Parts: sequence; structure tokens; C-alpha cells
Amino acid sequence: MALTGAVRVTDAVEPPPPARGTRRGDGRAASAFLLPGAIGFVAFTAFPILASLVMSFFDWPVLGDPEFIGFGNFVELFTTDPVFTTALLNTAVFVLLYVPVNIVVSMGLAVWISPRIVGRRYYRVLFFVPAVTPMVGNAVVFGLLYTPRGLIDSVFQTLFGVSAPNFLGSSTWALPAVVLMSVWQGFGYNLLVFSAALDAVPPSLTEAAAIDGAGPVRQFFSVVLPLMSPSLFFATVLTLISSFQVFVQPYILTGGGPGNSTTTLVMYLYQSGFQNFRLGFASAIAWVLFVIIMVLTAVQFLGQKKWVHYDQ
Amino acid sequence: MAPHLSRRQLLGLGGGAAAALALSGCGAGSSGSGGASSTDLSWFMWSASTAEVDAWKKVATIAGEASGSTITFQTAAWNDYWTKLTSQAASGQTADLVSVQSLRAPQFAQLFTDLGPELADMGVSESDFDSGILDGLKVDGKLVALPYDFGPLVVFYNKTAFEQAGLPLPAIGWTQDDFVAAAKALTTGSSYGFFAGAVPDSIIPFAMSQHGVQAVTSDGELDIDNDEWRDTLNWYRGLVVTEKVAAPLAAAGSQAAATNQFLAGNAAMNIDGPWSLINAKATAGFEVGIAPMPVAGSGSKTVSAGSGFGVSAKAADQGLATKACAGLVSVEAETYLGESGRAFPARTAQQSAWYEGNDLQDAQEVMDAMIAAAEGYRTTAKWTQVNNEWNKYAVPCFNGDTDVDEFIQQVQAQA
Repeated sequence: MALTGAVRVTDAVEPPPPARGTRRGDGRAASAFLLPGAIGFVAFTAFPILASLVMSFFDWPVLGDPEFIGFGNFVELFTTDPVFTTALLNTAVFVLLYVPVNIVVSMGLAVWISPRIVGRRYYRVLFFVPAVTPMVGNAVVFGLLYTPRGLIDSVFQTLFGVSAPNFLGSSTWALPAVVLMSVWQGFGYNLLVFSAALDAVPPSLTEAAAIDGAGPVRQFFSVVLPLMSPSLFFATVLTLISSFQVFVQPYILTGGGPGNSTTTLVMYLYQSGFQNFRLGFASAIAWVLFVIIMVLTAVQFLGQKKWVHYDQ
Repeated sequence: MAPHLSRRQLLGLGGGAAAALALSGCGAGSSGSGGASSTDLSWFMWSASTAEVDAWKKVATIAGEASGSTITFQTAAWNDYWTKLTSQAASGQTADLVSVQSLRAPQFAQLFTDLGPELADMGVSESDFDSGILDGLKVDGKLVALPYDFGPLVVFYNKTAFEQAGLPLPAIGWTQDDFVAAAKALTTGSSYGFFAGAVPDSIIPFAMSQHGVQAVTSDGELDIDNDEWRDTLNWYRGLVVTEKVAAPLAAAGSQAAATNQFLAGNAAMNIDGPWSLINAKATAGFEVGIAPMPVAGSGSKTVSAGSGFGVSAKAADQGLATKACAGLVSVEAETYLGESGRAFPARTAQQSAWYEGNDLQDAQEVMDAMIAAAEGYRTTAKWTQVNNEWNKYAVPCFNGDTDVDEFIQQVQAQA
């Protein structure tokens, strides 16, 4: 079912294929051109994916022999392992905070810079800069901002005379602090998508709405937003998928701590596989994550029929 | 359509076969440690800078000449090193000579050949090396590596800050009360007296001095669920929570965070090892001194750790590899490493090279005292996990959000 949605997207975006049949020889040339990509895909994508599926059914230490344990890893994840539940919850909280905030912020800024305001181009670049700077660098800088006696704390001391919370050292504040840094890092990409979509809205439609007496708010929600819905859908799907895979921010900012308060699924996967050397267990986490993302994406594709409009 | 498809399939199959060939070719290339010439060896070691790489290459040359082999140097940054070593081990493709830190020896022990029975053939005598670090590289009696460096954990202090505050400089015999008093005096608006690191390394020396206990018993069991540790942890936590002479912890930091805070002048005292001393003296904007652990209930005690080089059990030519391994820690190599300040030599006779080559004579008295008062730093095969959990749960505990029992419970669960 999920695929029908995907097909519709491509149908709308691409021109219909030429009616003429494929010319003789194209298949060969196409295969030759595809071959480098295909080799890469098989060696670096298909094979590791299959290997990780196989490994998830083994107790696979780095040193020593793997032992087949059936669904043992999955059973451990969902029954006895205390960290996995926390990691799942942390990831869910991250996604629930990050995705809406990211979409609202990027949409808001895109709308703000959409009229022909002075220096619009520069704003676009400015807002996109965080997205193209390496996340590790951003995280290190945010670590310095968040730290006690860091910039934020100093500003608090000066303005209010009290210390700011110890953002990364407090179990309550650490996850929101990670979300905030992620939003700052990530909104630029969606901003570009929305900005382009806004530019594609025909002015005649908004003008017509204005003549009919619609104010700016009504124009936006009844005319502009429905026209932008394919972009909104695209941005939501991609943002959701990437936010489930959040890793670098907690890895650099908090190391998953304090306690396990910022341990996300991928963070836990990394710790299990590369610090605790339980490769089978880590593979099982990867597959659980894969299934979660796949199901949620499928649900989104089903749901899009109700609110995404591909016709103008 | 049919011929098209079959042609495509053929091409696909051909591509797959080519990929498989290429992959298997790669595999064969890197696994064949024997290679073209039977005197080729590979050596895997961590490094942090090109200057360090040059130093290790020089050591490789020394060892190569001593053993009649050609040693190829492979390297990775400290953190990546352990990940890479692990994945190499998983695919059975380790280098012939592998470097290991004593704290991680139990974890990687099965990668290595037991050097104990080979020592006579290697022309190496155990008595030439510091006995503490030699023990640290033994796992259940198996000597996994020969040590090249080691050091006791000591107190690094900001001499300039002490002098400006009019405090007596910490010397042999200074007590825990002196330590706390100094930390209080040195805690001012912009800086703290001590850096209370969330890593075992920062706390174990205090547990040793207060109660004579390490985190791991002499039987190799993790044991911090006892009254001695509870007392030490509460005292240490008090430095942050009640005495407020150490900064609240910002995040699950590393030893590097502690070193950086010290070097930046934000903390006047810090627990560190002599491997950091030369860099600290060169980079700090103040004068750096080292002091023994302050005397507490059990005296002035500490633990020592270090690193060494071992022979992979997978090395094709074990005889040649053990000879080369001996070369890596030969008198010539150790003198060079000591003089150039790369390592505090594990060979006791060559330690003078470190003091003399780096103008560190003033540190010798403290070093000698602490080496004598040090036990080998004991760890378990799951030390990485212990370290991670320690790191993560120490932050809320030392910040006063959770109590010591919760911390102990979480860390002890890694036993």
C-alpha cells in the first residue's frame, strides 16, 4: 500500500514515459552504466543489510565464535533489557519534540522571507549555514554554550542574577538541550524546500483569494498551505526518518548521559556494537529501528491521501 | 524482450562476479601478512599527531633492524584504535604486532600470543621492567604484551595559582585536609580548586589512599558495592555538592575534558598521569607541578597504568614477530622514547632518559615516591562497559541529582 503513494508522487512530478518501446541496445548500455552503482549497492548496502539480519539471530561477540540463539536478542530487548526501553522512549520524545518544532520553525522562517524582503537571498544563505556546517563542530560549540559558566550561563547570571540550569549535566534538561541544538542544525534544509515551494505558488491564486476577502492568515491556511502540501509531506517524511536515526548530537554533547537520559536507539546500537562488542544484539536493535521507521513511513504514505494535493 | 532480459541478467551476473572477485581480492591482499617477503611485519599503534607518527616509525625502524624485519606502521586515533582493532579482530585480520593499554589487556587478551614462555628466546628479562606495569599486562598469568610506558596517577597542580594564593606547594606528605583546604582557597569567581572527573581514573587513587581499595579486587572482580567505596564516593561527590570546590559536571566527559579544564586554568588541580606532563608543561599558560596523592586513611597510594606491544596470535611468523616485539621495547627504543618525551619508559634503567631529556628532574622525587606507592590498575574484561556506565551515572550523582547508591548499583551491574 505504501508504494501506491510513492508511485503517485513520481507520476505527478515526472512527465509520462515516452510511448515508444525501448530501443535495441539500450538495455545493454543501461546495464553498463548501472553496473558501478549496482556493484556498490550490492557490496555496501544489500550485503551488509542481509548480514545484519543474519547476525541479529546470533550471539555474535567480536572475539570468539558466534552462536545461533534464534530470537534471543529480540526477546532480551523487549523483556529484560532496561536500557532499550529507555532508549526507545528517549527516541520517541526526541522525534515528537524535534519534528514539529523543526517543521514549524522552518515553515515560519520560509514564510517570513518569502515576500520580496530586502536581503532575502542572504537570509536564505544565513539560515542554511547551520545545515552545511559539520554537525560535530556544531555539537562541540553548543557543548561550550551549554556548559556551566558557558555563554548561556553567563548571560543568565548577568540578566537575572541566577545560574542557568546545568543543561547537559541534568537528567531533566539534557534531552531538550539536544533537541534545541538539533533544530538549530536541521531547520535550514526544510527551509529551502518550503521556500522553493512558496515561490511556486501562483500569485494569481492568492490575489484571487484576497479579492474574495481572505486575509493573510486565511490565504495562508486555505490556499498556500494546501498548494505546498507535497513539499510539507516530503519534508515531514524525511525529517521523521532522520530524527529516528539521531546519533551525533547525543554522542558528542552528552555521551548518552547523564545516566541514560539521552541514550537514543542508534546511540545504544553503537554502544552495544562498538563499545560492548555485542554485534548480534546491535543488529537486532538496528532491525527494530528499521521496522519502526518503515511502519511509520507507510502510515504517513497512507495518511497523505487525505491531506496532500498534487493538483493545482 | 527475452534476449534483452537474459543479456541484462548475464551482465548482472558478470557484475556480481566482478564485485565478488574484487572483494575477495581485497580480502586476500590484506590478510596475507606473509606477503611477498617473509620478513615483512605490520604493527598497529594509536597516535595523535604527525610528530607522534614519526616517532613510532623511528621505533619501527629500530625494531626492524634489531630483528631483521621490515615493519609497516599502521595507526589510528586513540578512540578509533579500539574500534578498528575490534573489527580487525572480528575478521581475523589483525596486524602482526598489536599495541595494547594495560587497562584493556583483559578485554583483548585472547588476541595475543603468551610472551611469557618466549622471553628467554627474545633476550628479554622481566626484571628490566617495572614490575607493576608488567603485572598489569598479564591476564590470568598470560603476558599479553611487553610494556613500553607506564605511570602512576598523580595530582597535577597549577603552581602559579598556588603561589598567587600564597599557599604552600603540595609536597610529599601533604594530607587530604591540606588538599581540601587548598582547593577551597583556589576556588574563586572564575575557577575551581579541583576537577572532579567522572571517570574511574580520577577517583580510584583517592579510594586507594583512603581505604586501600581499587574498583576491581585482586581476584579480578568488580567490587564497588562496599562501605569503603561508598565512603570515598560520598567524599568525592561532596567536593562538588557541599564543598563546591569542583565544578558541576557538564556532561559525561572524558579524561580529556579534565585535562582541558586544567590546562585552561579553570581547575587548579587534576588527577592525571606522567604521559600528560610534557604536553601540559608546553601548553599551559602557567607553571605545572605534580604532587603525590594527599595522605588519607591508608596513606598516599595510587594506581599505575601503561601500555605495551604484543604479538598477534594470528601472526604468520611467530618467531620473527616476537623478535620484533622485543625490538620495540629494546633499550635503544626505550631510550629514544624517553629522551624525546614520548613515553615514561617501562624499562627502569631507561627512566633517567625521560627526566634528563625533558628537564623534568624536579618531578623525579614525586614520581619515585608514587611509583613505589602504586599498585597496578586492575580492570575486568568488560572495563569499557564499566567505564561508560561510570561516566554516565557519575554525572547526575556528583551533581547531586542522584545518590551514591544509585551510581554504585548501575556500575556494579556491569560486573
